[in-house]
Amino acid sequence: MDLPAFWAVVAGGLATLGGLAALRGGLRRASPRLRASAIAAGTALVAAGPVTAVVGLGWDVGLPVWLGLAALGGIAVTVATARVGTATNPGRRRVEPRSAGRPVRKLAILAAFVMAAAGSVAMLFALALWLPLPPADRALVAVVLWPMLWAGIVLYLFAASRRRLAYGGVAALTGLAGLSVAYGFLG
Amino acid sequence: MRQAVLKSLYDLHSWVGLVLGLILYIVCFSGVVALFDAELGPWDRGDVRAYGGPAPAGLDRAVAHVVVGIADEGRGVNFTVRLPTPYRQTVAVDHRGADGPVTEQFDPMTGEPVPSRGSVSTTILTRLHTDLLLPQPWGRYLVGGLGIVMLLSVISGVILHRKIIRDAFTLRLDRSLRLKWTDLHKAVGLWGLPFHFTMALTGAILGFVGLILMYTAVVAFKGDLGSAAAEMMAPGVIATGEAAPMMPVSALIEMAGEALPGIVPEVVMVRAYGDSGAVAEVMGNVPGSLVYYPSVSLEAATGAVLGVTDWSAGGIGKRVYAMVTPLHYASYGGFALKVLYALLGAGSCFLVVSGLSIWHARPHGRATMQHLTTGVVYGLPLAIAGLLVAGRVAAPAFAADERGMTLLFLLFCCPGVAWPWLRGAARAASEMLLGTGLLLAAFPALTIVGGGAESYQVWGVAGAPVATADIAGFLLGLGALAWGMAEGRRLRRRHDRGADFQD
Repeated sequence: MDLPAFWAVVAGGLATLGGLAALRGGLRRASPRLRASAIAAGTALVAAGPVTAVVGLGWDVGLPVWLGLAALGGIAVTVATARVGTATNPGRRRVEPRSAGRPVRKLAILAAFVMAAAGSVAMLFALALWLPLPPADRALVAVVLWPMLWAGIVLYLFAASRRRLAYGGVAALTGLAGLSVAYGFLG
Repeated sequence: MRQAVLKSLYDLHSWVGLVLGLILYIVCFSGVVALFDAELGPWDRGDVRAYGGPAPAGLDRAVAHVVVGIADEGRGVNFTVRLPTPYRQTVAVDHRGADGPVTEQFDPMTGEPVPSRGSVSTTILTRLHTDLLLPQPWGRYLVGGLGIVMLLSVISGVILHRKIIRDAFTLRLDRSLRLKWTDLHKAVGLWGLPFHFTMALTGAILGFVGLILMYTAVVAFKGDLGSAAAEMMAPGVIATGEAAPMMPVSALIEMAGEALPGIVPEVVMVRAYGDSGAVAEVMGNVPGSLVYYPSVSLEAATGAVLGVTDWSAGGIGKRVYAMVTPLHYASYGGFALKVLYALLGAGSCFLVVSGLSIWHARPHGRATMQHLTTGVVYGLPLAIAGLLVAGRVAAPAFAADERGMTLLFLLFCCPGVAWPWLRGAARAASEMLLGTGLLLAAFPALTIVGGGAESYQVWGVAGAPVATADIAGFLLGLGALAWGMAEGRRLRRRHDRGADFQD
């Protein structure tokens, strides 16, 4: 890393850290005027962080580096402004955990995972065939999107309130995707 | 959002973490160490030689040594030349010998053979991260599946925390143990969200890419394998069977630099050496760019450029895909970026540990699960520190034996996992931290004892990587010792008060 890029990253990191501290301070202010000013200043500084890093390192390297620095800065600000002291009730524990009395659907998690795997593979091939891009780009975009498809379908299946409808919908989509692949590939 | 949906997501988030959290922790923690695979090399070998860069004459002499040693002057054979780096000051040539794969090391300046040094410790740690030490490709697929699981946890976690700004800034250390863990879990998870998401996504892609990319390409090109290969792979070799004089590898590297300005060559793969159809592929990095190993393919006989593979200049799919590997392995920004990744990776480990701790802090927490968690969380760093030290002090033949060293590592893991059952979770954690601290703090002593008079060069420029590993090991060791002693004091205070040791 050359020297201007190094200073750009340092400046971006410091701006982000300052911005986060200002935001944290602003959120604690009682006075609406002070609160608004601190939040505005914090937002401006946080926004300046990625701009500085991107100017110094280019968007492809600058952005991930800034995101990493912002994460560390955020954790540092949170730890620095933590409420410390002796536990008021260290021995007390929540009597009623959130899922107490409710059986956890472990089999449903497994079923959703397997169903989503099949669905996401069918959709992966459909995307590879039908995305409006050159063939190599279609294949690579589909590969990059595939884990998100898998995770997204699991979440949908598991969280859906009308489970049969959700499973049916995913099965139908999987079938449609499979048919479209067969049509595009063979036809 | 409806309460039932949130409860379902909460169940998914907690059960996925509970069942697979410890394996995720192993992958994340070994990934943090494996980040420094190259940087740990000089320390592992006790190597304080100065890095002078590859000398063309030395490089060509090294290749000549290899091809002369192969029947028929190496005609038609394939070999890979790994160029020296600041962390490995030799030219390494990999080829297939009569008894299997062979790696020969050469001095980069003179091209004369030098004995191989160093252990396979970092290789084992890298394999622990990428394959969980399981047979390939199944281990890789399992780790890819864990990437999907991590992605699920990250997304469900974000949906669960709807007050993101407030949660990110909230840390109440003056409240109950469970609340402390919960606040820390939320803060580290939310601030590190882009990192955790990126690691999960790229990890899942890298885990399954060997399986899905080929089939996806076949589908995208509607079964036209020739077009798929031409578009997505470097030009292949068409051996003619006619002998031809080969251009020196150093000259091919220079030509590759002209074809792709900015490339820093790292590897040269030569296929069908000595044949008029031989192909050399020069691969390397373009510093400061987020692209995986751009390469230049040349005719090894004439030096004519057959093709340049630089996906950062391709379409959207190629550009995005080319970012996956550098984003996962932090190979685009040097040592400082790796340190940043290591800190954020430690955050990923912390997320797993804090998530499990929230679970253990519940009423009726199961001791078995707590013992297992303690054994893995504190036992893995102890086993890794033990492996690194063993690699440094073991006899060279044993240290270079991957099978033996892997067994030794697994042996180191056993007491870690068993310790909490023998000593109780809290006491075992404290003792394993002390053990890890002692091993890490011994790094500089091992360099001095192992290197003799040569170790005094450690503090010069040539020994900077060794000195960095020594200082980092020593400081981390001191940190672990301090943490272990603090845990021990806390334990004694609780014991004096007659409390149980469960947390």
